[in-house]
Amino acid sequence: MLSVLVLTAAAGLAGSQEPKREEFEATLVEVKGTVDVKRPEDKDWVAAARNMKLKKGSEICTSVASTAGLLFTGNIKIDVKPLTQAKVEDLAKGGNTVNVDLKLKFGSIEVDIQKGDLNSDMKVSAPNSTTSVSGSHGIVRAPATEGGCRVTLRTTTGTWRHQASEVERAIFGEDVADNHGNQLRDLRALADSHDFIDFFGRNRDELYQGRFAGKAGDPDPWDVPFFDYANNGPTAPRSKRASTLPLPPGTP
Amino acid sequence: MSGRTWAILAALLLALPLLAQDKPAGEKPKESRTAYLRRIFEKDRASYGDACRAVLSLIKNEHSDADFAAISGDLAGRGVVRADWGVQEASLLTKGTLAYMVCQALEIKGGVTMRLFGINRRYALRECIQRRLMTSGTVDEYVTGRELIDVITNAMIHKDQGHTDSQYK
Repeated sequence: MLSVLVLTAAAGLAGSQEPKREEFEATLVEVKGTVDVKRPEDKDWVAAARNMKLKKGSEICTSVASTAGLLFTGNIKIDVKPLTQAKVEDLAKGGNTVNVDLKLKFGSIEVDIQKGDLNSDMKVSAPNSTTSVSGSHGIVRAPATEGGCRVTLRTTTGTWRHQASEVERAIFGEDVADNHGNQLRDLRALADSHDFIDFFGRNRDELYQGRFAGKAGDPDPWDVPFFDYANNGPTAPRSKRASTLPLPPGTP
Repeated sequence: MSGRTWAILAALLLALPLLAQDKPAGEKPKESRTAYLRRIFEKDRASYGDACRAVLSLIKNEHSDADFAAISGDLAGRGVVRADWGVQEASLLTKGTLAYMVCQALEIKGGVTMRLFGINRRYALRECIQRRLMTSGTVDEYVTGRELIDVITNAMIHKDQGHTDSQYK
């Protein structure tokens, strides 16, 4: 009996030391196109409006060519992309930590977490996976069919290597993994993709089979759309390539 | 009260529900805003009407609430669907039909064969698969609601960026 009392008292003390969780509301700071929300108090979906408050349990749905911006705290912002349905599962502040859990039914969201006074503990759940996002900018996508999730976070560095041509290049920027943890960047998945064709196909002979020395007349062979993702991030404007290359140096 | 009065009262009672309705009996209520998306997501088979609305929204870059007759007329005028198809709104959508609509909406010209012989559903599907707008399948395969959402999402990205690579990176 005494041990039970002691344990109960200890548990009570431990509980009192935990920071008190306090729920807060997110604000719809931007609405473009056709966006609907369903808050816990709503019987049906209603049209979203700017400065609308969304508490825990609220859902948001965007139509074609429609986006919404959600501000959780000063440093956590989420852009809900077109054709997306998401639900705010948890929204609470405890001590100096902000907990935000979003459940993505389908579609994609772009997360932007800036460094601030509060630590952020953010999770984005797709039907088959959960992604923890901290201190970064990234995109989480949940295709409607696969039930999976693709994550693009611009927080890591790595090396990009093409085995056949033995080209190796450091990547500073985005890291990509599907919900099975496969690294799509390592070319097992990218080798047959359009990116590969875009980059290696255009001047493959010139660049990699020694037909011409050096850069084959291309003033910046790395300045192609594929590497724009790695160099500048997915939201930066893409480079415009000239339709034809200039002749190689020395050509009469 | 006479029998005639009772008869008039009974007729009024029967007629009241009909008078209270704004629309004629049998006409389904118009679905608006994002409700159609959530309905499509839950459907095992998408319909031709769903695809028409989604593709027209994609072309116009805005949500469309018009009825099926107006939407399909608009699409036929743009050459996105063929008037001689004679497909009904509730008809099940096939991958070939969807691919044809997407190729026409995005003005995808295709490769040599499609340029030489013109677009048809089979070439359009091959083109959409090659561009990763759609997953693999056959022309007469039915499209699920979730597949339709993914195809429109990919098509929107293709329209903005000229490719769908960002979906796979």
